Amino acid sequence: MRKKWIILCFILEASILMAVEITQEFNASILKPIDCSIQVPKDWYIIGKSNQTSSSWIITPDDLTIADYQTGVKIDSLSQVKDKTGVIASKWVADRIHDKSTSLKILKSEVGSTNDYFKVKRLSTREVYSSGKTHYATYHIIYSWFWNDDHDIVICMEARTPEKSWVSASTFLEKIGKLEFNVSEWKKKLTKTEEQKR
Amino acid sequence: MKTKYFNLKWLKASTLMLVLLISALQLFATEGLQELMPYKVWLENLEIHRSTLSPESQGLGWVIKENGLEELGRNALNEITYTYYRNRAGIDFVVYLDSWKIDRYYPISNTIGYRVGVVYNGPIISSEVAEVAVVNKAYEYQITTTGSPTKLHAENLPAGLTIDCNGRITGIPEQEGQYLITLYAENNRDWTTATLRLDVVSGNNGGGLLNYHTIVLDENLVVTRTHGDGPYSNQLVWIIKKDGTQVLGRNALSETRYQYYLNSYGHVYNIYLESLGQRVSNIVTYKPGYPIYSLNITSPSSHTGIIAQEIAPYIITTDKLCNQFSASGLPSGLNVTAAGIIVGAPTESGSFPVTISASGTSGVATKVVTFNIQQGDDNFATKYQLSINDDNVVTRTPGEHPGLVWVVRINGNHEVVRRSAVGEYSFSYYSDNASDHIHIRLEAWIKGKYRPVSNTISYRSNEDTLQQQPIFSMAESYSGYLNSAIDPILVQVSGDPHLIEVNALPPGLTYDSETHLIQGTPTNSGVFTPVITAVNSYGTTECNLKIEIIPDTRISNEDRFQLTVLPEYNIMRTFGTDESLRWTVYRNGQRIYEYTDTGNTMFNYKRHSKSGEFTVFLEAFVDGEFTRVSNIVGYRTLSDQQGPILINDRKYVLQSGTSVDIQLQATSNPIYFEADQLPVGLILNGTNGRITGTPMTVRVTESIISITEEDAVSQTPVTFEVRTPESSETYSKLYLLALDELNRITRSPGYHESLTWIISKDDEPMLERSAKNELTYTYYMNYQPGVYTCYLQAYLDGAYRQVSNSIEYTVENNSDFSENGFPNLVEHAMGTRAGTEPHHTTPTLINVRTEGDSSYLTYRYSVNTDATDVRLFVDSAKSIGNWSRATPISVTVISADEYHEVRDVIFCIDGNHGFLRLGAELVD
Repeated sequence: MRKKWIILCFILEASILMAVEITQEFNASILKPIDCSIQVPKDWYIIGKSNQTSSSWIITPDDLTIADYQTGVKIDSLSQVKDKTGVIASKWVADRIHDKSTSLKILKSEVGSTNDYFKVKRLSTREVYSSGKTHYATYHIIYSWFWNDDHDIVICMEARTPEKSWVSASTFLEKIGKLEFNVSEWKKKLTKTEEQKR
Repeated sequence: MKTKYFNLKWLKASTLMLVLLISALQLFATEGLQELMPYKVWLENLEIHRSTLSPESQGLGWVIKENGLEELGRNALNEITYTYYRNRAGIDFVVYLDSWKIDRYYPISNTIGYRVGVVYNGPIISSEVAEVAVVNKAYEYQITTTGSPTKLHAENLPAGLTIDCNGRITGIPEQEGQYLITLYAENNRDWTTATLRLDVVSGNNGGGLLNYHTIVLDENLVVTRTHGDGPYSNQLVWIIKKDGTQVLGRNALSETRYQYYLNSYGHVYNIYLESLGQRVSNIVTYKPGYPIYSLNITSPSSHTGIIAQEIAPYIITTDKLCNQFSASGLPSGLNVTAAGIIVGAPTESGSFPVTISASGTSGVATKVVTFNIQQGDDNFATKYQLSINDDNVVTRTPGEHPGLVWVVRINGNHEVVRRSAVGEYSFSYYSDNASDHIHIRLEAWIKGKYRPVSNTISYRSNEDTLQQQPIFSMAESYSGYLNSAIDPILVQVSGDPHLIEVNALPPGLTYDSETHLIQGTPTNSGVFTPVITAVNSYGTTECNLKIEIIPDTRISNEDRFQLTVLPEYNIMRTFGTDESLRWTVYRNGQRIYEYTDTGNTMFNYKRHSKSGEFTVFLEAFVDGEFTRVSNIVGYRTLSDQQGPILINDRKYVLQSGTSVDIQLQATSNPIYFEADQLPVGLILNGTNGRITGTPMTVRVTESIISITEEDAVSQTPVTFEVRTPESSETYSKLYLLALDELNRITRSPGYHESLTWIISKDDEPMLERSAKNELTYTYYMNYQPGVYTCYLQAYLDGAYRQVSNSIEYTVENNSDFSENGFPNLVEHAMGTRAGTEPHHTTPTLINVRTEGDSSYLTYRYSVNTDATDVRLFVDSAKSIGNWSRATPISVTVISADEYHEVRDVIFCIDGNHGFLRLGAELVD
């Protein structure tokens, strides 16, 4: 009898572990306009649009036809930064970091690089956000900026989730936030751009 | 497989974008195009109904705008009917449904509008009433309305902008400035106006991306932005900073106007627009006055009137009690009364921005109200002059007027053309039939109908215009009410007649040969057929009119129902219905009872155990307030005395040196009032029953008021008590407040209907709460450090007054009210302190387990998730004083709701301990 209970418990525990693994299953997706690969949880939506100078995506488990997303990641590419903003990409990012740091409580700040090709800066904040109407909620937000001055481009990423969902959603958001840029493609782009300039 | 999945997502995204595009096209739809909307809303009385879809559109919400500003967004998913909770008179309400689409809210139904307390079937303007345009940059605005408009128009447009006949304003504004544009809309039942505030700005906010948007702040702290989304992608956010710290980011794609909802006194706010973290607009800065108790003028932003006629009174309404009102910039002839009502007959026409002010104990408020005064009837006929040239082109003198049209009639009254004359100064009409007499004149929409505003030009297509006999171009029939002045009738005749005679007019009406007007007050009813004869050198023409004078059967509110007193104090009313009808009973001049009418025409108050003089009448909700809609009847249960019953109160408390105006009223038809004595300084006008004057002597006077009607006299004692004006100190001693160690406030007993706790923190008002039924109160936000003050307030002798002493207490960062070792923030976070969050869950030891030398203690506790988080700890010691602290080895959330979290926390402690104590600390 006791043996049966042990087996039953083992099966239950195994099922729970499998369930946890299934909910954390990710698929790799390619965001071609910015030549990078991104890990997207299975069952999440990717909604995006692109034109010649900018691209944007929203990656979320929420249905955008019902309401604004609660948990999700918004990615925007800003190219020709110098022309549009008057400053180079690194300066533009520095300005954004300064703006956020002086007006919001910064929970966490990280500096790093990706493939030694794009520099990256992350800030975690807690903000009150409203998608409109009378809905207001406190969100945990991670801002990430990936930039390369030679390419004159900044990839802006804003991952958010309601403060109360942070514990359960943070793993997803942090994993999605790790963009893997295809360096060889980017180098080709740079070479092509330089050739065109010549 | 992955590719397919990805493509499906893109397909879904594309579909959504298509929906988005369609919705965007609908944004500018006027009512006629709203047929495309999937939902329909309609109104029954004041109940808003909506159609349903299967499945319902998710995120469906009601949107309600008051005078153009969105005041409510409310989930409509489970509601197919809704009645707005703030319906009131004097406001234009607009309602529609909206729904979320990808990144913003869009209208998803038709738009309806309504006014409360009036029968109004005209249009209501639903387009924005505040806009921002950039000088030298194309601007476009569509007037949208409810109620199937037949005419849309705008006046006072800035240079560079024009409006077409579909109500579309387009152009390039040439000069910066703030313009108050009068929007005008009419349908075949009524007309209305609204004021569009258009700020034409330079658009230069510092160059580059900062110039993309300009935002403008108005006096009500509402920000309005230029149209468009943003320079990057579809991300545009309102950023609100309070004292330099960001307190809100809000999606601005949904709205061009926004008012921050948590403005508080004494702080500096900055608002601007941001896209991808980059500011893309100017910054507006403001420091609000008292926002929580701020005084606001809630009456409409525009009002209309007609020159030389009494305007409909404009009542200045506020959200707090006010006792002083003023207005500057009023059109001459209008004035504001002490009660805050703008009345009078304007003597000039035009659009007048009037600054109205109201003040009271809650502060001062101002608002700009546009008074649109139209030309009066008497001047209409000469407002424009028409002339004709050899090619039969008719030219008019300059000027604009709402609804101005060219009207062409042939052979008398056969109308063949009616077209807009706005911006059109010449016009010609050609008839194939050479014998047709063509008459052209201008008409404009005035006082509810089209009226001629020019002379009439008449000619034949193929003849010299001067060689013809007089030709009339008037309506065939007119009507008016007996004993009421008629709308003047302008005699319209061409051919420059040297003689015009008008015969057989209804008694009371006359013809003025100088103004060519038939006017006056008819004294007989019936159908009359006056004849107008016009003579010039080419001949004589007669015009037969029909004027019908009808008995005035329009009844006043007070005559809608007739009441009769029957035996046993039964009151019978005449038939009729009104949803808001109610019986009102007074005893000895005091209102004691209101009873909703159930449709039964017989009423009996029944509670006559207390004898007295009873008066009864019916009331109904009319024009925004309950109004008497019947005669007043009365009866006495204390004696058989006959005669009228005094309706007024039986006791008046007056202040010496303050003027008095009391109107005595009585049942039946009193013909004379008398008082045996009155306080020194007061007199009674026996004919109209008004007591006026200024009481000078402090004393109590018992007066006997005699009221005489045709066959009876009644006598009623009334007391007049004249007091010395109270000082503020007198009021503040009415109640006594005391404070205990837990910051509970206790008040002395007593009753005032309007008794209110007033709580301030650091001199900033925080709370108004009824104290009528509370003898003690603890402010629920006491956990926040600061200096708190509290006093009681009540409405006494015409003003809100402080009626108690003030108490003050300080909450330190770590105040420990209950002295149990838990400072204020910890207590609040755990919901354990009375008077804060009433969750009442203290940490409870639910399990103890011993393994070897260690003991495992499990505590269960609840925290308030809105507060700073707390962490439990356990101190253990073998002897008191040598405490060793243990932190949790695990924390598990057992359950949670919107405001609380229940946790189990496990501590591992040395099993050989002597003393244990449980503590808590704030988590940074």
